[in-house]
Amino acid sequence: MQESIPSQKIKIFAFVCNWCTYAGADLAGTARMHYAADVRIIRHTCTGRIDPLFLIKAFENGADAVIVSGCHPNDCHYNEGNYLARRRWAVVRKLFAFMGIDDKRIHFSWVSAAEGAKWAQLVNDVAAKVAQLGPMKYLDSCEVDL
Amino acid sequence: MKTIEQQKAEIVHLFEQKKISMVVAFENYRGIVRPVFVKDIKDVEKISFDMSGKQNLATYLKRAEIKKQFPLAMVVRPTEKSSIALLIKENQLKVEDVLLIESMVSQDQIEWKKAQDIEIDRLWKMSFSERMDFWKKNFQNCIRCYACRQSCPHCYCQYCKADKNQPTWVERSAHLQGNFSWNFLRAFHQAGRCIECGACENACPANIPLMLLNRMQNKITAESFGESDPKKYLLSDWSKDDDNSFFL
Amino acid sequence: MSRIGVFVCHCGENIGRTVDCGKVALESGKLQNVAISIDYKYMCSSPGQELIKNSIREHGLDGVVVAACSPRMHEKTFRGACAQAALNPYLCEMANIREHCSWVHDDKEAATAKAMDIVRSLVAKTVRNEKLFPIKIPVTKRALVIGGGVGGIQTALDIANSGHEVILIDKSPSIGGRMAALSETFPTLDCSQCILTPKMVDVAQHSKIKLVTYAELESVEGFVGNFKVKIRQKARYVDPIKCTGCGLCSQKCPVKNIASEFDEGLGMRRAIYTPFPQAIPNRPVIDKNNCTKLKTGKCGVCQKICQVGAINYEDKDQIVEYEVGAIVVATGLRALETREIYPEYGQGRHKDIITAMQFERLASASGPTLGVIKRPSDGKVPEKIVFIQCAGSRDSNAGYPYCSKICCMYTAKHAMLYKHKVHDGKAFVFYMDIRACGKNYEEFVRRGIEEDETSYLRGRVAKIYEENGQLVVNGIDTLSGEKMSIKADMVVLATAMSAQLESVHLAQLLGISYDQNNFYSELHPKLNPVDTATAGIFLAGSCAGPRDIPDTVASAGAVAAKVGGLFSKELLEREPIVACTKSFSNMNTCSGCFSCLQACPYGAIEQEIIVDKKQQQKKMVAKVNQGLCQGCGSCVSICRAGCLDLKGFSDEQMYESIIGMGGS
Repeated sequence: MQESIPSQKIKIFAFVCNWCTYAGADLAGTARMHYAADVRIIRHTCTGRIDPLFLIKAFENGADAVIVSGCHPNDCHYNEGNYLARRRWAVVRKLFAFMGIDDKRIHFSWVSAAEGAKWAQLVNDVAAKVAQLGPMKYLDSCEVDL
Repeated sequence: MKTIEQQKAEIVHLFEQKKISMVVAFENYRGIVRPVFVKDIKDVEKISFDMSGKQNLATYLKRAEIKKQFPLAMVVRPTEKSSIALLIKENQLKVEDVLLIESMVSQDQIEWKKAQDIEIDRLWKMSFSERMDFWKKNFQNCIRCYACRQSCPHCYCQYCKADKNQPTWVERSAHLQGNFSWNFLRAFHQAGRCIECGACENACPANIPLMLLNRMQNKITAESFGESDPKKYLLSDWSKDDDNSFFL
Repeated sequence: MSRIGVFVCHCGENIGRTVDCGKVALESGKLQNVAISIDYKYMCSSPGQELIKNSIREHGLDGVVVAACSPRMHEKTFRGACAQAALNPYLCEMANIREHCSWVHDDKEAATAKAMDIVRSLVAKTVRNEKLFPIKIPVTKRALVIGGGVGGIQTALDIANSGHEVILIDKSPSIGGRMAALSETFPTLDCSQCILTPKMVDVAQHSKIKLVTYAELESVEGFVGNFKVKIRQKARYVDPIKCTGCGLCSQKCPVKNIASEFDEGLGMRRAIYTPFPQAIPNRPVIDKNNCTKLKTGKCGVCQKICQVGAINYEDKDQIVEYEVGAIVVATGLRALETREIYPEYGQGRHKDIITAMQFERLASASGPTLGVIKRPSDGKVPEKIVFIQCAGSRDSNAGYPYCSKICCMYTAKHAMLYKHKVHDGKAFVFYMDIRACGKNYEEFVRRGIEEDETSYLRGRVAKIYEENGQLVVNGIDTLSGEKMSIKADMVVLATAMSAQLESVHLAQLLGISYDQNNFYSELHPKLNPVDTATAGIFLAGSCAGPRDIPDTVASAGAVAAKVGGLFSKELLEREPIVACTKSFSNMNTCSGCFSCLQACPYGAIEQEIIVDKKQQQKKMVAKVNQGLCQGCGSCVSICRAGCLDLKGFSDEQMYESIIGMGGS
């Protein structure tokens, strides 16, 4: 049994693919690996399905950070979905960063169905990082210095 | 090198031969350069070849009433040519739909682009929250008039995703969250497609520096990807050499 | 308003110890759209499932969320229970509060709060679930097998023996492939022809197999269960029905000096020929590029001599169409020549530097030398042979980075066969490694070393040249550190096994993928080694990568099992998690840019012409072929206009699950 990892009182939305990362997170569970309770996993068929608007919607609805995770290149259950996703994210992350969304709040990873430990470590790292940044407060106020 | 007279004669000839029923070009109306749709030989005189108009004429090729006039001719600059090439690539036009009459006037946007590059660099040097404030100030002025979308030839979707509900991905009212989403979405949908004509920024009544987003994105797409099939939408393709460095 | 039932499972202590299940059930019951919310010790047990079924009936539920273990565990179980209670199974979702919650956190408060978020998210999603029904497509129970080597032959026999029709085509005049040209096979030293010919005869005589040789695939249309294929039957110029296979025509044909493809150029054939004596079908063809009559109009000896009038110089290629439900690719591979990549090995410059396939023909009892190992240059029996392994394989610079898998074994075999035939002969093998991984393979190689005294030298050969009429092989033995210079009477090169020259063309006809070495790509290298990404098209044998006879025959059997599975029902049923077009106000809003078609890994997007209601014009729009779609959803997020959706994970469902996760 691992030592307990305290919740950082933030919300991390994780958009993951069913075949790799979701299974990897299941494995972390079966092996009773402990990680911060701040992550909320939303299951998809493939990372290719994940639209950047999902991330924006997450921020609009209380997410302080977002993780997008899927199968390693070459291993996609659907052959190419993760490659299409990879290209999409290269553009989206720069757009988000340029528009001022802190890139320490958006993380991308490849976690396979065998990498339960990697998943646990990833969540802990992201939770610790984001806790330091504090809550997101995404565009919730229209008050700007005029 | 053709003279303006020669080009006008060419257009008259096309009308006489009934090869086209319309010419889309610019006219100079009381000192204002604006698009003109010439359907009659006698109106060919109106056409101004100085091509300093701020619109991208190719945007009119989206319209149903214009499509009914195919094949038509258009007086084009590199801007319109690039957009037409993209529209043909994306099955919105056929090569024979538009006869290109090339304006001999050169189109110089170098000074403008230099200023944009300097501004992009300046923004990248800021912190995230400073950048967020910059865009907040800009997007709070956005009135969601969609002039940017209307002026862009590549925004041809009959029903824009931003106008759709069920579900409502982009809030429609002109408030900050929705404005952010809208401008992000339009920029993102231009990835690999924007030809940097600046028609969107020129059309924006709130003077939002949209070109900063588009040009910054073009720089990213130029350097992040391996080989792509030129016949495909950039994001429909992939390469083993695409940037993988940001994956944990 | 929906009527969702929430069922929170304690899973004994597994969830109950960390998550306050009662509280989760209580709070979930307060959610809008939830009609009933209860907790129970073991939801997947019989009483647990009864609880769900009864609740569905009693409360008129139109959706079910089971908060328990991972859906990868029990989604099927609970969907089955719902189906039994007459609720569409796809209206049932699982909230993972065990693997993703109770098992990985021990702060009870945080875990319970998280469990409530997860349940809320899934309830919100389920409100938007649609009834889905398995997709049914008809199946033509006939298979096309492309390639009549041992792989194609085996798979054809296995499929036919399970009761289905097979069409087996091969581009050569006879089936048999590479194995028919071998002398003996490792590790048993069975005579290759002896074990293959009975199978070839079975194919020819099988009532369910239609054998079409000297034919190639011309085009393919359709999709799994419903392919339309066109086969080009090349003109044989000999009527196979009238012909009796007597062989007189070949004996009398005056054109004698054509290098035989079957004998790897070491022997000759005629212009009218059967490739080898045991050919099936045993009917000759005329090689139109070398036949005097077909080229100039003169000669005609074969027609005059034929006693049954089987020769027809007017014959033409024919295109024949078939409907099949599955296609098996068993096109094998080819052995490379080294002259392009290792000119320093002298192949092509000296007649006694030969390839491994040529050595097979020399060793073969029905070969050009009737099984006597003779030097092609002067016909003398070689006293010393040098075998060189890895003559092309495992060399990224040469363009063949992979291991060709069979060469270590066949080289050991060649050295042994040579020694069995030439008792005083001396065999040297230059090797990098010895890959003898199969059953009895290592013992076989050791036998060659210990009993047949093959000398194994670990090192590469730098150069082979001729000095005063004598071949000299310069190499190195890295274990002793000595440079070796061997005067050899013959050199045999284990050249790389590579994809067939037409493999890319065939892949493009079929719409299957191939890798950087032009071998065909399997659906999953470990879990699905005989399927391709294209439903209904399978790979048998070495077209997917070099392999030996046991693996080829095994994969052929695996393919037959898959084809049998495909054909086992009248209608193919597939999980309905597929993409679909999304219409708005009954309008198709597709712009026809086909970015989706470009992205789809399965070619499942088709083009369709419809009438646009708004513009009153015809337009070409995208349409999903649900038979081919595998449900990744990439097209959905690629579509800029948002015209596509994914059943089971629709835009609405994902939207609600994100908002639901965020909080009340």
